[in-house]
Amino acid sequence: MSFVEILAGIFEGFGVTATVTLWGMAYAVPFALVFGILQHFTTGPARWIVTAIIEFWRSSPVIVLLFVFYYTLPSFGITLSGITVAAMALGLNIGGYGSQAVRAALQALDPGQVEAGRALGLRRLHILALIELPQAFKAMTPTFINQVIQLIKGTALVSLITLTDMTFRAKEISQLQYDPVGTYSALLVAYFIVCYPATILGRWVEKRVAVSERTRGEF
Amino acid sequence: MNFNLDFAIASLPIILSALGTTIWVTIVSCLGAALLGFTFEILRRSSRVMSYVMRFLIDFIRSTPVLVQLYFLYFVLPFYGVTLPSYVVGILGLSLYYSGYLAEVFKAGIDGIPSGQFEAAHALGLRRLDIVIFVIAPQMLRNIAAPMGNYFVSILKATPYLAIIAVPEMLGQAMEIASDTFRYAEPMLTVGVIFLVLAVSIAQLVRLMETRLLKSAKR
Amino acid sequence: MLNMTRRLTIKAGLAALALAAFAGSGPAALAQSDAKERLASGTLTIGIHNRAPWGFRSSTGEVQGYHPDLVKAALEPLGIKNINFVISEFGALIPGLNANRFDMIASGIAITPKRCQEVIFSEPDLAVGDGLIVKQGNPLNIHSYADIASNPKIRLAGGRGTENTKNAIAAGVPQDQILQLHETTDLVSAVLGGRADAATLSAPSVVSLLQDKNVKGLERAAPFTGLTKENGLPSAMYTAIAFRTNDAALRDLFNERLAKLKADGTVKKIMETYGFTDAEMAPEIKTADVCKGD
Repeated sequence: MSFVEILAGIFEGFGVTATVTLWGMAYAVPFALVFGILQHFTTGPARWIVTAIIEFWRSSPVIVLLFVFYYTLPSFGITLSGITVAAMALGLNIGGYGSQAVRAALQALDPGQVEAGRALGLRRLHILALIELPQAFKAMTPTFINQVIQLIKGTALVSLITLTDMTFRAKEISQLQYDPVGTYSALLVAYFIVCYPATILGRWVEKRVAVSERTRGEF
Repeated sequence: MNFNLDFAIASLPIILSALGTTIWVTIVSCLGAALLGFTFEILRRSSRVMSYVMRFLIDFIRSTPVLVQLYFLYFVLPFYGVTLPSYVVGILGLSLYYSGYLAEVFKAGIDGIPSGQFEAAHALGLRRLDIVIFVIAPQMLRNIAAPMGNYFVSILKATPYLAIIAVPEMLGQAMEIASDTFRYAEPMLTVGVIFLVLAVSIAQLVRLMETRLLKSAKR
Repeated sequence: MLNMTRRLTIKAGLAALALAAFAGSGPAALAQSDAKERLASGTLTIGIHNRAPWGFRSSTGEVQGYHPDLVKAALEPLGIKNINFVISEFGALIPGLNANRFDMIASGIAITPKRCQEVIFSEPDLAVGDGLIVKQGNPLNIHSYADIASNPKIRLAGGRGTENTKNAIAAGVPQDQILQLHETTDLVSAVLGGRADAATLSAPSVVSLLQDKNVKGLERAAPFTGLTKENGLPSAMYTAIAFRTNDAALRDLFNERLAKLKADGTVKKIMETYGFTDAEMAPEIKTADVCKGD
């Protein structure tokens, strides 16, 4: 098989890579938002529980989370499909990191904003939704793009729980025809093709956010 | 198929016997990544061309999954006559991958040094190498201590990938138990719990160190 | 602020419930079903480890191999029109079966007393021995596990969880002389790259691996003595189809059909398709006896 043929064969697995990434985001984004906000606002025992949940997902190695969900849960009677396992494990792990970014963004906001909102008579939740979050989102966007890239790279692990993503296809191709140089080089190139544009995009967004923050400060 | 708690507990000491390997691999990889990252950052600042080359190299490393990089180093290098033992490949792979991230940490750390320091050093006629060793390095080290600590935890959580290239660390040990007894459920949960406890404890230590450093910085 | 915390906590609880429900409604959660139900549904999922001639995915995307073909021949007349497959590394086949990832293992898995404790097997369908891959010319003159055991410098590569690796250990090769890898092609890489001096696999796998024209510089060690029984005769591995322990009904159904296929020559035909000879035909031995450690 020529290099291009191998690359094409690897991209057959792109569907699974993309599916796991999208479903993973579906878990990561709500988790990051909900738990980031919770951690920012709660105190005492409630905060302790929130932090414990976040730390569980954030501090476990993803590969171990995948294996535990895939092999251990069924022995407790919970059998989730491979894609669900992948999306949950990767998504909630990334969501754990994302929650810290959300919390940091909220903390970095000028407290004057909240006071002004209260002076205007807005309810706390409205202040959160209308004033704090929009500004926080702007600050979080570069981090968000970074998390997506992390997620895409993380999908390489799902090949270890038999999901047929790009890495899995590469290993399959190397079973049909023995050519580790061609196969693994092509795999590196494949991920680069997918992730590099996102990296460039992230950098561009970062610059634009920095510029807009700077111009906003001058008044 | 039911979960066997006794078996899970029995796996604990066997898996923990590989804890030493996990720890020293993490430490050496962290040092390797720091060394490489620092070198990359210094190189990047040396000339305009170099800054583009380094930027691209770092982007490439960060745009591909570390697992795939490990496969590449393990299976492709021998074709070109470079056959390294598993743990060397593992440490090399982790060092390379995280050097990209640590280069950014160093960048922020160096940027955080007041520019007056450089001017004073030049005024004193110090050579470039001396400036790096005696002026930049000590101040930068204080700036980067906390992010480095965080990356130490990240590298710790990446060591399980080395099980796929036959390094005898904790996940590899769990897999040995599993392939002996054909049960993945219990060893996987045990290794998961171990990593969780380890990662959370070390992260707490890093946070403590961060607070102490902050206190001592306010002189 | 207390009010705020309570309201947020309630919202969090709802969010968690939503996530949990989402998990269930997401890409379909796998449900356990009865053997009869599965037969009625016409679809079966088998686990393979993607190695010729046992169970592999052909370039057209279908599942092929000695054991998948056997399962097809046995169960198609009973209404199974669709055979799905999951590719797993060999060592993860039994855990995968027990984690309900597939309904049976149809991939050259041998009956061993230890495995019998985790799964149930059909009657044997093939008898095979170990083969050894070495560098061209067999420079270290390896012709048996005993040769490897007696020379501590020889490094052996074996698949994780395979009986070949266990045979090597049983024949006296120390565990730290064995490099256990996950994929079969990794074993070839190991010998080619100098990480190992020999690789142990089942003889048919060795043959099919060496047939790949991209594999240069390796040969099959001949003659080769693998694990021998106390009476000096070579110990054979009997392959069969593996089922979950609570799937005895499905297993018995398969055994009935297997007996018929053996009698009418279908098994022999499938054997010939994949290059097996009469030497590998399964003797009249019963699975129950093999499980006891015959």
